[in-house]
This record gives sequence, C-alpha cells and structure tokens, in this order.
Amino acid sequence: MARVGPGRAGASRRGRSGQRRPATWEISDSDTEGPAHSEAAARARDPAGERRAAAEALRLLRPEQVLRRLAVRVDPAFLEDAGADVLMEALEALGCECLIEPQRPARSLQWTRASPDPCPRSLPPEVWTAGEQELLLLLEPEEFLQGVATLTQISGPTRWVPWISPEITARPHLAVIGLDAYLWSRQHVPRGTQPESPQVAGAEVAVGWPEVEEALVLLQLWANLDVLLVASWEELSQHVCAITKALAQCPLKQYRESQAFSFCTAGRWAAGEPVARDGTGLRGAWWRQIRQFSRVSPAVADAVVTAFPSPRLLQQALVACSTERERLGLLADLPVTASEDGRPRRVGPDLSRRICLFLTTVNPDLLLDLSS
Amino acid sequence: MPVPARPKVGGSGSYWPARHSGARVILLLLYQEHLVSTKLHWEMEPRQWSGRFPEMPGQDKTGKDSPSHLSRMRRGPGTEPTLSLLPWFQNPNGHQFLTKEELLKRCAQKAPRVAPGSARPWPALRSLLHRNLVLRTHQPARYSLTPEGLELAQKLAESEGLSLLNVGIRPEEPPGEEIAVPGAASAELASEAGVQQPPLELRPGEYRVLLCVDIGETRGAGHRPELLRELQRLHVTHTVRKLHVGDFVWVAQETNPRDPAASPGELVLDHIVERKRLDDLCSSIIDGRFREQKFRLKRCGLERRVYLVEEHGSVHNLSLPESTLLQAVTNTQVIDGFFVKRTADIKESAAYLALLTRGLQRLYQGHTLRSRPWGTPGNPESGAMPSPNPLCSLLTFSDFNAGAIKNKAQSVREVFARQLMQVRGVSGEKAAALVDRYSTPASLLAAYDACATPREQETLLSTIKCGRLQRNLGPALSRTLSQLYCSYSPLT
Repeated sequence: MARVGPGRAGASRRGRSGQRRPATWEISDSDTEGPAHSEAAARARDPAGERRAAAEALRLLRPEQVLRRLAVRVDPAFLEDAGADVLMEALEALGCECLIEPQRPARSLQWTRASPDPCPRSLPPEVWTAGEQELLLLLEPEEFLQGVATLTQISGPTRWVPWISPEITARPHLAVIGLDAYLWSRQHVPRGTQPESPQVAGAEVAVGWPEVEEALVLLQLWANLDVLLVASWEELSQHVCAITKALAQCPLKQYRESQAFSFCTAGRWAAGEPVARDGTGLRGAWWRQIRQFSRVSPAVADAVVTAFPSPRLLQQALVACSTERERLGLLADLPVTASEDGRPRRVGPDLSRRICLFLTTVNPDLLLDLSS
Repeated sequence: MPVPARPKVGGSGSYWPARHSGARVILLLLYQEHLVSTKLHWEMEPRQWSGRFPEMPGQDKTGKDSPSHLSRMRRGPGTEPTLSLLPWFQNPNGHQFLTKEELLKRCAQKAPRVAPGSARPWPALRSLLHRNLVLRTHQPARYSLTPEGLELAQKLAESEGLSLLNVGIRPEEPPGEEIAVPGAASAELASEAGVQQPPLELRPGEYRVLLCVDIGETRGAGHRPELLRELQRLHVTHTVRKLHVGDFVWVAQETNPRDPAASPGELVLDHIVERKRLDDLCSSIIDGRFREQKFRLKRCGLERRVYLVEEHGSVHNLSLPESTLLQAVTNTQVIDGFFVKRTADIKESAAYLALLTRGLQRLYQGHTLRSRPWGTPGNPESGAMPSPNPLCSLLTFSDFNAGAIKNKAQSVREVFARQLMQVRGVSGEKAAALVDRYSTPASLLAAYDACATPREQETLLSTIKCGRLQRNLGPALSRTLSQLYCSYSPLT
C-alpha cells in the first residue's frame, strides 16, 4: 500500500516551488516567486483580509471588468464616412469608453487599457499592464495600393513601412474597406477614361491582386504587420469589436496560462454531463477519462469501458495478473468495432501498456509514450 | 462482471515461419535494424556495452557489398563515427522501428515475391502482429520486434547463417521531390537520444531555404494532395516530412556538406504555420485541441507563429456560430500573438505558402546562419519590435522535431489531471490541487483503500485546498470522486 503523504494545510504552492522543478507547462512568464511567498506571509498575518484581496484581484481580471478600464480613442477623421456610425454604436454597446480625439497617425483607432486603481498587489503587475497599446489604421484603397506599389519595388527588407511613422509605439494593424470592389472597378474601366490621380497615373507598376498578395507577405515578414481587408463598415465593426473583446480577455487568459494545467480543456465545451447523486453519469466520465490518453478514438474507449466499466474493475484485473507482461498486455486484445477506413480492430499493446502503467505507477513524471 | 480474454502468448516455441515466407523476411528485416541500432549504440558508449550480441561478421573487410551506412563505420583512424551518418538509428535502448513503407521497400529489394503492393493488406505482417512477435505503435504506424519476436528472429538468423551485413539496403532518393525522411530521421533521433550535435554554421551560398510540409497535410480527406500539386505547379522547393508540431516550417539545408555521404545539416527558420479549415477549427475548439495545439506551438522554439485559416467565404454548416469563430481567431491573434492569415481555399493557401517561401528566401540572402542549442531563446529581446533582419541563430531541424515529440509525450501527472477534469465541476485549479496531493491514480486508490469506512472515502478529498483562494474542494465533489474511484460494480 502506498504511503499517504502528510496532510497539507495552507499554501500548497510551497511544495511546488520549493521541492520539485515544475514541468514546462507550469512555468509562467511572470514571476511566481514574489507574490506567492509574500502572500503566504500575509496570509499568516491576516488570512481573511488576504483572501478578500485575492478574491477582489480575481474579480478585476474578469473581462467585463477589464472592458470598463479599456478606452478606445477614435480619430475624428475616422468618422467622416457615414458607415462609421455602425462601428461607434457597436463599440459603445460593448461597455468600453469611447473617446473622439485626434490621433497620430490620423484615421486611426487606438486601444489603451488602464490599470485598476488601486492596483491589487496580489497578482503580478504585468497582468494589469501587460500588452502594448493596439492601433488600427484605416486606409483608403487608393492609399493602400500606393504603398503596395512602393513595397513591391523595394529590393530588400526594410524597417520602413509605408503609412506608419517609426515613432509609433503601439502595435499596429491595418484595415482597408472595399479593396476588392475598388480593384474590380479599376480593371473594368475602359482605358483612356480612367480618372486617375496624378500619383497613380505616374506609377509604372499596374497594381493588382498579385502585387497586393506579395505586399501582404512582405509586410508580414518585415514588420509583422497584418492587414484586414473587409467589404463593409459592418464587417470592420465586427472585427473591431472582436479585437476589443480579445483585449478585455487578455489579463485573465495570461493569468490562467501561468497556472498549472493551462493546456487542459476547461470550460463550456469540455464539461461533461452532470453526475447525479446516485452516481449516474460516471460511466461517461470514465469513458472521457480513457480518451485523455493520446490516440484514443471513441471506438477504442468504448472497448475499454465495455470490458472494464469502472476504474476499480480494471485495477482489480491488473492486480490479478501474475506477470508484468500479462499486466501490460491486459487490454491489448480487446476487440474494437472497426471504423470505415479499416483502422485497428483491437485496442493494441501500445495503449494497453500505457493505460496499465498509468494505473499502477507511483512515478507521476513517467512519460507514457513508448519512444520516450 | 466481464472477464477479459487472456492475451495470446507469443508461442514462439512452436511457430517457425517457412524459408522465404513473408513473415520470415519481415522478422529478419526488423532484426537487422535492431542489430544495427544496438551495434551503433555500442560504438558510441563502449562502457555500457553488455556484450550480448554477436559480432557483426565481415566487419574488418572493406566489402563493396556492405551497405553504405555501415561502411562508414570503417573509416580510418582519427575519424569519429557520428550519428548523423546512420539513417536508421532510432533509440539507444535497441528498440528499432520501421514504418510499413520502409519494410515494403526493403522487402521488395530482398525478396520481391513476398511483398504486396503498398496499399494492399499484408497478411504476413498481420499474422506477426497477432502472434505478438511484432509490435505496432504510433501513427503513422511503426513496427518493431517484441522480445519474443527478437528471440525468434535471432534463431532464424542463426539457422540461416546469415551475414546480415550483406543484406543492407541503400536508402533511395527518388528524383524530383526529396524524400528527406531517412536523412532527417537519423539526426532527429540522435536528438531524441540526447546526443549533442556539433554546432552548425551555414554561410551564404552554402544553404538553400525550402518549405517543409507535414505529411499529415498531404494525406487524408479530399483535396489535400492538391496542396502538393499546387506547390509543384508554383515551383516551390519543398519536402514532405512528419512534423510533430505545426503543419509547415522552413528549413535551411546545407547544399554541399563537407562529407558527401552525410545527411546535410539543417536549421529550421523561426516561422511556423498551423493550417486549419473552418470545420477543423470548429471541432478542435469543441474538443479542446485548439487550445492545446496553440499551447504546444508556443513552446516549440519557433517564435513567428502563423495561423492559416482556410475556407472563408464558402458556405458551411458549421457546428459553431460565425461570431464564435471570429472571436476565437481574433483571440489567437491578439492574445496568443499569432499572425493570422485568412484564405478562401487550398489553392490560395498554397499560393500564400509559395509567397512566404520566396519571401523568406529573399530575406535570408546574404545571411550566415548558426545553430543554437535546444532550450535557448533565439532572440534575447523577443519583446522588441520585429526587426527586418531575420533571425540567424536557429534550432537544428532535428532538435526542433525531437523536442516537439517530447512535448507531446504524456506524463502520468498530466493525464491524471486531465482525467479528473472530466468530472463535471472539477476545474483546472481543482485538478491541480488534487494532483498536488495525489499525483498518481495509484496513490489516490491507495488512499481510498486506507480508509476505514465508506464515509471516510466520501470525505477524503473534501478539504483539499484549491486555487489562489484556497477554497475547499467540497463534500459534493469529494463524494462524486469516491463513487468513481471506489466502485467495484459497473458505473452507469
């Protein structure tokens, strides 16, 4: 019988940071040392107060709270087009602050996120101020194409990017409304009657979709700059709202990612069926547990759960084996209903080995895959 | 209570495949690989040599018939055999794998009559699998000998008095598109074995940049072979390999290695592309793979991550609303920092990859590249604005791919946590707290066994402290978990 370890009251985190090297998925980007230790000390002094503070900090991480501290500054020129009303209404409906004031560069929209006041000390400060300001610059199709023409004629990579001056610190995104329609209409205007602005008339390069695609890739490679090509203000507003909501979720997601098992599915999509008081629903949970192993299809999980309808029944059968080889191979020959593409018709020795090792080992860091 | 059928015993005592039969050929081919791997392991680690295996006959002769990979071992004094010369070296523990294609190829050379066409089922192989003489693992499947199979193969070899050196097979390279799997596999598996490779430097003109396509992108449903056709049509230099993370990467490959017999040095550029059709995206969000894949991409060692979302504009019956997908993709861009590219169909995706390839080739012109060890960051100030100068301190392709395998491998702790989260109400935080206390299922089951009463079992976990707020797990979840882990009757 395995030893039952000593009960741990209070900060379980002490064990994690002190004794074993955390697995890669537990290492957070932000410093785990400081807050945890000071928190532990503080908790000793005033446990209730610290818990309240920690609860408040977590509440402030929630997206709807972050939205309240998010400000969207819109350049007046952005609003010249009547279609912009759609955008402004959508933004206001989200609940963030919208300010209309001249921006640099003009015709842009900037997001800034304020730290809460007072700033809770129990979480690392990066959580509140993390993420640069975001900026969305709206370009007319013509303006965009001029930049494209220049880019495709440059011989080598350059830090300079048209439309954005170097002193801009925010992370920029570009947007163009109606580029497709614009290019299409240009192609279909008969030669000689093209109303050209002087710059384009003088351009040697005919700028069409191939040049645009090339320029998009160059912008990506040289400046990591993305361009949103949309057909209407409606579409632009959907994207802007999505960006706003994403920014509101940043602090929470970054915090979660610094916690253990962040890669695990939690949340709505993965939640299992509810389990009744009498235990109905646990078979489904056990089935989903088997699927957590790599490379387990529903049919294979069915096979295992049909043969062993509870974890204890499987453990019992393992204990009853007389040799290691028998134990590891216990599930190998369980038949599996074949799928259309003729996949394996039995559970197989690899999965059998992994499941059996999993249930019997006392080493939590054992890697189950054969090649490891 | 259902009792499972006893697993079949190998029965190697009574089974003796006929001479020239497919089964015998398969066993001997796998045995050859096994010997090659253990022999070479011996070459690298003389002190650990156990001396169990027979000396390879003909070792001192410079036999022209010897396979190229083994003949390299007989170089003059002062030359070190390096693992990169050894195409089939996989695992220093002596487990040697071959894929079905490799088995077929060698079988076709050794004994053409017994090899079926590659798409046809192979009864001989299947029979060996059922007798537990051959083991199949992973997808795509890899085959190796079980201990019983090894015993039998040894006896077969002795009975034939075979000099296995003389049946070696030179890895082929079909004209045109590279099949880089053998060459890449060797160095990659050296990386898996933890062997440090010498630092690699590639000066301008000594390397070429090519697109590397994951083999999973070329097989499977519908129009995926179209991707390769399009790439060929667009004259994109590319290679198809098994990538353990991502769908597309770029490799800077040595064009004239100093040692012509060696596989060329390869560094992987800092860009990685994950391609998702909209329907794939839906299903991966629902089953949780989406988050997990992104998590692995963030840790793969390559920083310029691209999410290529395909099939925009086409009509779909998707399982998630468009707004949800838009938010998921936008989150990937804004929160996870991926570059997002949207294309309408596979042709556009191919065109995009072609442009990226050409762009990278231009970008790297005139630059010297150097290998960097796994685990070190390429760009120390990665938070700074992206510079137009490309990253030149790069991972070797083998380290990159081997590292990805390790990241994919599941630990007991990880699987246990995921399993606990399958019970409704157990969140990541709760699972973390549970696993902190009982880090393996065996440990938890033992704790339940140590309880004196069922009531004690029900409440065993209720005071486990979870999360930052150190809240109790609670009696309800504790009871549910005890039902799951203590029930000797079938669950419902």
